[in-house]
Amino acid sequence: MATQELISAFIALDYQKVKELVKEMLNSGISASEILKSMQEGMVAIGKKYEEGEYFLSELMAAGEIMKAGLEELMPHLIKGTMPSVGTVVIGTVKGDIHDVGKNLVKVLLQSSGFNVYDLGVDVPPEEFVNKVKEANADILALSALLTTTMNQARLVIEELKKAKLRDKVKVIVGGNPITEEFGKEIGADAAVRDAMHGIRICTEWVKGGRKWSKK
Amino acid sequence: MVEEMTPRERFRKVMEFKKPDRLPWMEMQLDATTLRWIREGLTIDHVVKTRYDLIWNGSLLIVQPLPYTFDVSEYFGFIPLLNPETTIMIDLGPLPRYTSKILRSTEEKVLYRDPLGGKMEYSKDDYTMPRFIEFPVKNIEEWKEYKSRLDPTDPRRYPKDYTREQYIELFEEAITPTSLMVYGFYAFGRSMMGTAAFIPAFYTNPELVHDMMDTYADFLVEALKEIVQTLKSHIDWVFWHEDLSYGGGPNISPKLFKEFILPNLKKVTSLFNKNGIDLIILDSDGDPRPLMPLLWEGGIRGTWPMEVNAGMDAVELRKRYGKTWRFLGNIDKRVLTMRKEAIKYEIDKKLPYLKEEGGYIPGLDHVIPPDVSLENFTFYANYLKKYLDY
Repeated sequence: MATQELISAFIALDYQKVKELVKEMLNSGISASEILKSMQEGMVAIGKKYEEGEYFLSELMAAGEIMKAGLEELMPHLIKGTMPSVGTVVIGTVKGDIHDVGKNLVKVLLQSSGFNVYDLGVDVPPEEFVNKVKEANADILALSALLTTTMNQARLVIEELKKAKLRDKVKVIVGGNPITEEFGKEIGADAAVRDAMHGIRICTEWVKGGRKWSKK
Repeated sequence: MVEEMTPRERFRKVMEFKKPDRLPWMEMQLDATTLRWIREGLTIDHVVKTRYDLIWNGSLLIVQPLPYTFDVSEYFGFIPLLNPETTIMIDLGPLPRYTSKILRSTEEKVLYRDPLGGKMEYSKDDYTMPRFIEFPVKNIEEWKEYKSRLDPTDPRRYPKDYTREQYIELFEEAITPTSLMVYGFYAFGRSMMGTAAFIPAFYTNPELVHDMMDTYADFLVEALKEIVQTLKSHIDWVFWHEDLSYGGGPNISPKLFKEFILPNLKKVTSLFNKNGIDLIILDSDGDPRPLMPLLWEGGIRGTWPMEVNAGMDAVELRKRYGKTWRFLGNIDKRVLTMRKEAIKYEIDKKLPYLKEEGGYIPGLDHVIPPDVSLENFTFYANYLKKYLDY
């Protein structure tokens, strides 16, 4: 009953109510992982509403903030390891580009979908992406580029991955306003998207049932 | 012999859906692009504008011509979207300003406190925009502090040379379109808090957002009253800067726009309308289409730059809305980095229809980006000009 109320409050983007409900549920003995599951269910419903045109970027970003606030409450109660990661993503905005709103939104949505995310920030040089992919044993590399003048940096990152012999060990997704599918194909990315939710769907699909691409 | 119309007369005619002798053409320039073109052969004589200014020379204060900006508009024959000589910019920022200070300087970057209250970082080796590290408002206390700097009656908000008579004369006699530039409500909130914090705040801190929007509306009405009531319809258009959308649609939903912004937008636009200023043009990148009915209801009458990459199509929108919305821009800037055939195709596809329907001023769908070569821009300019005469 309480979980249903939490899901409804989450979908209605009622920030205060979600925070109160999370506290109440914890106090009444409901496990943190159960509460997290409800919030994730709410997030999925919000994603659907966004894709159907009922919700907009504002609702998606608010949902991200509400999820963050809920997680803050839950964190001390979540025993390490009870939050199973569905995969590891390295994310960042390419060199020369300092836009981070889209990248940050994708990061929160990925975390909400159960991914372990390493955020390298903005203006990230290719070698930094490559080093982190290697170090974190990442499943997915997510590159963000908002400008026509910087999107070519994604190509350089992929070339660096090839040089480091990592290209077949990691899926690469490129996102941002000027990005097209053709561009993604041209530079050798596995996916190219302009919409955050579309990106999340692709990443979730990739890791569904375990990693299918080359083992490390 | 019939006298040629001035660029201003052309602008006014087109914005009234009437036919001038020639369609005006408007662009917004970027210094980084101009610098590239100088490297590619554009001579300094074509681009550097000078003006007379008072300077110290020894112990004497004398008047001397000084270079003050790059301007390629005359060379190519377009109207600058915002002509600094006929655009009145009332200071709508915090007064007094915050104390500007360099906080850290490394070989590559400089971190400094911005006079508008945030912290910014810029690279020493390029011309890109500085990056916001921190915004002025993070909580209600900081907003209250910022709000105390928004006295609309502070005389420093008006240009130093402002006198009613002089400005009426200047704006009456101008031969290029005259405009007033105003930061809109979304832009105000974003500049206070940053996009990442401002957008969720509509849900996580609605009282703060309401107070910011309501305060800003009252502030704008009071601060702009003098210039609007003085110049009245000598102001041809209001450049209403918002940037409230991205490639995938509006940053805020119609529901939020209706609740938080629309009533405040009406307050300000009714001040313009009462004084004979009806042409308020939205400046928003991306795709604001889902907000267009509400923007219209709020008094917005046109939009620029209409980014093709975001799905904006002036032809399609003209068909949908008829002769209501005024459109500016919408020529895909990306084609200017492609083959010349692509440039021709883009112009041929849009210009004949939009020119005939009226209410449209051609130009690129944003500033001229620095990846456009001088050769391609020259080709674009010459090809576009073929279409301008009626």
